Amino acid sequence: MNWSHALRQVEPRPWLVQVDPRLKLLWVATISIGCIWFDSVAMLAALSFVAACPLFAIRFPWRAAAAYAFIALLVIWSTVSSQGLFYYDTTRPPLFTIVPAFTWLGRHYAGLHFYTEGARYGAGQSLRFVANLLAGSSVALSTSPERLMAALVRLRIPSPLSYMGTAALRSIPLALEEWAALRQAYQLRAGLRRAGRFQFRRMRLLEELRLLEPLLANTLRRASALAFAVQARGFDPQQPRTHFPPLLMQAWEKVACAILVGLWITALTISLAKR
Amino acid sequence: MPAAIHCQGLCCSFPTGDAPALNNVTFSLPAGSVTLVIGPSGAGKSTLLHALAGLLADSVHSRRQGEINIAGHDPRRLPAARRAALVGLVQQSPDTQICTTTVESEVAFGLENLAIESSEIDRRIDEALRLVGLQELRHRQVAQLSGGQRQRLVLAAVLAMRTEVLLLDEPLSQLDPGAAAQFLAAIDNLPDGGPTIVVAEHRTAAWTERADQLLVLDEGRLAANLPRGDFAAWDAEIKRLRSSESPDGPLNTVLGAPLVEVERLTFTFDRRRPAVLRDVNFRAQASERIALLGANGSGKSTLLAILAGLHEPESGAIHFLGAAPVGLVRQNPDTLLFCRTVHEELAFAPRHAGCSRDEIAERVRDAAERFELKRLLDRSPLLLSQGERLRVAVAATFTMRAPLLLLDEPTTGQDPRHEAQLMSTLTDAVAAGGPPQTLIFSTHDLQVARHFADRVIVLDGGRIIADDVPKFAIEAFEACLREMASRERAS
Repeated sequence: MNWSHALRQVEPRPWLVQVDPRLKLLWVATISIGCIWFDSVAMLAALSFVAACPLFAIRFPWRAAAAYAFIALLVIWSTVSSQGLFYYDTTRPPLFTIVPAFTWLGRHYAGLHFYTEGARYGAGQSLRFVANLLAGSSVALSTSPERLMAALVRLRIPSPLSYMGTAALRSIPLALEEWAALRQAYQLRAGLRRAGRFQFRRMRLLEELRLLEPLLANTLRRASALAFAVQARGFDPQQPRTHFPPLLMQAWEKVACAILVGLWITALTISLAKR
Repeated sequence: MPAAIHCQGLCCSFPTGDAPALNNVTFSLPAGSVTLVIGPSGAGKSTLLHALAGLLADSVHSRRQGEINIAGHDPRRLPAARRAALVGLVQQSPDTQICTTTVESEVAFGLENLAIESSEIDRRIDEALRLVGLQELRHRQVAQLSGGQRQRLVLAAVLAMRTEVLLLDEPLSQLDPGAAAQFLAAIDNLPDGGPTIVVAEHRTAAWTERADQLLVLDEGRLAANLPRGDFAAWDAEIKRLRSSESPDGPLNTVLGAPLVEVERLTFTFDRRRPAVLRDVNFRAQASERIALLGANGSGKSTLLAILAGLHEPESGAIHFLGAAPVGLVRQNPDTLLFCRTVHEELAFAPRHAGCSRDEIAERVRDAAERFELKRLLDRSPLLLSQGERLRVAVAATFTMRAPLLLLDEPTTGQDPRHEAQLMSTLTDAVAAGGPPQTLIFSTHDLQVARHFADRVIVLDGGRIIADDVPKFAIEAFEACLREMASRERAS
């Protein structure tokens, strides 16, 4: 699958693009706080679903959506199974036993068990990761780097840091595109891909790693060209600059922000009260 | 207000260069004039423009001596915003100088840096986009624009800043003739009292009528400084040199066996959008040199990628009647090179093809000689100049000894001498019976198509509209460009 091509086909609904990026950032922060605050798997699963909601307003190529879902399920499955098998906290009733305990040549082996608590812990951790991934992706895929930068600056993040962050975000599809082009060049010249027959042998890991060096060189070259272009246009991180169009929150966005901040305060108050 | 430029004893050198990039360059350009800077690759044209923009000391470690005076200032000593308001720079590749993701934000970027009020930014965006004919695309994503539209967008972004000097570094080199004409029309549309323009360009014909002064650079020195009256003779000389390289019309009338046959080929990247290629039919024979012509986005690169097996056609078929493999050199050489040294690059394909040591050594020696890479064999390809990297990329594909060689705009950004050298090497190899036996290349340059192809295929909107000897196919392409221009004017 060509990821750079798939990324170009991602189309967020116009209303989602128009939402004030400060509200979007607040939304991600709220999901992150929820991940810290909730402990139950059911609540974290519900939070992940809530975090995924804005993604329903973004049109993906189906293969990209399937790959996305596959990655999320892979993260959950691998964390649950690894924690289920290797959980070493004290209260750990086994859900089932894979290899029973046995003694051999005078040494006792505890066996291999799958622990309920471990699975629960793994599910919680992986759902935290997935919820943040989904919330972050919905913002990254529906907000232009410029608006994100303007929002970060308005949220008092230093201007150079904001620009670096947004430039890095913008360079992801370009880097993916270059990676695909390098792989194609490698496959063609190494005879892994042949015209007219579509013979294809997958590149080995070492062959893939070999492309990291030119990819890094190209990334540096592109970064240097971008820095040059930005300087030529008078960008100076130390100097004040205006933002166009100015960020203006609509009434409903202000209400939404107030609700999210209210949720933060409630969570904090309950946490303090419990202590 | 346009500004006069005075340059006195300008010298620039880089730590990696053997000789100074600029050596004692002195000239004066009147306010409001248009100056054309020409010279071979490496003559110092871009360095001169970067020095005038005041960006050399800031961007790379360089030593600069001498004086530059623009409207009473040395741009290097000005704060970034003040310097950008004085001098604007448009470079060769739009992709390396676009700083944002939408048309509107790109034009606004420089104005935001000048801390201009939002209402004024809005007005200037409108004005600049109207000047370059992109007002309808204000809310588009940059990724959705064609190459020509992107270059005009960069021009709009600089024009919006109302600079006193406008520096253009080969702005037409990546544009098809139609897009180049639109870019030139945008320059012609500039109101009286517009900026002083300095343009470095290999495609001199486009600028000779517009220029008031000609600067000729050679190995960093100012070889000539000619006023308008004198350089018509110089342009005639360039034209004569280029046309003497090879005659017009078909170079080769004796064709070999068919090598590849494309039958009713249709392809789309996204089924929701129109097909990129529609019902394409042609056959390429051994000993043929075929040029693909077409406007940006007409499907040339996609056709080459499909022939190389990078995409599977949606419908139709490609029959290879000879032996695979196919060699493909894409436009950006940076994405073709992945070995530690030039020698490794040249040896890569034969090594993977299972050639003996002697065979590998022979292929490397042959390619190094043909493409003048002998002295670079131990260097890292990533540290070479762009022209050299392109030669390495072509040579590395050449060592595959593929019967069919595909080149995607191989001469972009090359000066006429290197362009002729590269294309002559390849076309001579085809004429000598190969490998490659057949060469298919896409180009924007009608001269290159005229001089180095036996046959020209013209694509428009993914369809073949002409497939003929260069003379007639180019006439068809020019008619197509005229039609496109009138369609655009009407819309």
